[in-house]
Amino acid sequence: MRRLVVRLQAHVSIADAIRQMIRFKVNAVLVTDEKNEAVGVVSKTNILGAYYAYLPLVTPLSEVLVAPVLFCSPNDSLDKALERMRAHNVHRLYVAEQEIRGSRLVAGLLGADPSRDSPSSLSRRAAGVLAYTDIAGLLYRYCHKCPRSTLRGTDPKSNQRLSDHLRVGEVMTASVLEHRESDLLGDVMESVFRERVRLALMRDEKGLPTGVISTSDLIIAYLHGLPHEIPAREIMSQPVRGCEQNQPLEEALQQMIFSDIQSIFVYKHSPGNITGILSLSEVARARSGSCKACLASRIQIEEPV
Amino acid sequence: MGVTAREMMETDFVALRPWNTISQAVDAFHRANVKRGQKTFGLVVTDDENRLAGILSLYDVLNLLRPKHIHIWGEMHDVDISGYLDESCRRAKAIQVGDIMSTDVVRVNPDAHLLMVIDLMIKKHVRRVPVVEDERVIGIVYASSLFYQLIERLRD
Repeated sequence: MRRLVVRLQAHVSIADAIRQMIRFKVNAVLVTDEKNEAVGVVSKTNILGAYYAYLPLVTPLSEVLVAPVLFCSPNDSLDKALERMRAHNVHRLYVAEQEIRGSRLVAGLLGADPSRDSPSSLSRRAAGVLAYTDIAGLLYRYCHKCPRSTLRGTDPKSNQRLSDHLRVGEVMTASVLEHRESDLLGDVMESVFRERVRLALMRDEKGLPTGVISTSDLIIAYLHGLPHEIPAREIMSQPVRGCEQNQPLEEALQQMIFSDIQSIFVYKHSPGNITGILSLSEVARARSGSCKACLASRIQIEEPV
Repeated sequence: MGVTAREMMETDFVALRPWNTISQAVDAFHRANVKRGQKTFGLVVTDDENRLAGILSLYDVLNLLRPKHIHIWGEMHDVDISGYLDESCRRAKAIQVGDIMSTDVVRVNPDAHLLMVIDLMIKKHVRRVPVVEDERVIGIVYASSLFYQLIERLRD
């Protein structure tokens, strides 16, 4: 998990939340009360909703937050955390502070498994945050080192890489949200919000990909007070970052991390021929539970004789 | 030596505007270094009317250069990071000061006693405090100036 949790109190304005998101490069902030206990989460999508609804930037976060906050225990297995993320369709879980350390210890002595906290017994204070991208990093390390990886082949000493097996095209999402550069900012915002995506591909009048509008670009436009009626090209970012669909997954992952982006467009043969989009979350999903060697070892750990 | 913020503040200071880019902010940091004859770690941000809008510190700029996925980098020893810093700087240059500045700024009025200013600096972990009168920034009290003036009293 990451220890840095960006926290803001419920009375803080949307404008300040946007600044914190840009400053710390996060997709969401945790909203807390005076006791530092979590009361909700505000994500870029929630802020986009506020922009779409013409809410003023001084609106407090209490007006736009989403509750309840989903927590996991620091002792939960990654599998359990991933399962919880999938079940609730979220990309992050906050990791609860262990303020009930004493009672956990007693539970352990009495034979109960101290790692099996029910979410309701967890502290409402966050000690950290766990996102898909964190898991992607961990899995990268484990898969890389694991001599028993089924993806490595039958020879445990083989140096054949995981990337030789998984290709971008196998993991990507084939549908891409697209707009013309001349479309109105409000229209792009509406479709990004409606489709729940992070990126829209922008094309010029000839249909060539020329730029990208991300949720970050949109919340910055909100902070700058830009009206919905301007052409989308005024806020789009360039260049369009892409990878070939036959490229190894690992290379695409490296490219995303290197470019500081969470999603990358996928093309076939030439960069103008966009066929899909690949996100860090998809990479994390593809790497999770896909390896039988790890699955076997997890079962041994979780079900002791 | 004075005992109020007004008597201790520096009135000739470099200020940023919220719409300045990070590239322009870096130039302003250099100007402030020359003007004060020492390294500057933060600049006030004011609007056209000289009202306090925020503060931009060196940490805000460093934060921009820090990779979003730095926590994953530690796990990926085989990632070639050559050229990352240049790319990161290129991206950061165009960002506006108003997008990343801190708006929750500790400030004092000109008649605040120095001990109150010191107390604020210690409690809030800040090295500079803008002095605000009628909503306008009229000066800055720097922790370094305060310290070096105060320690004169500690000499034998």
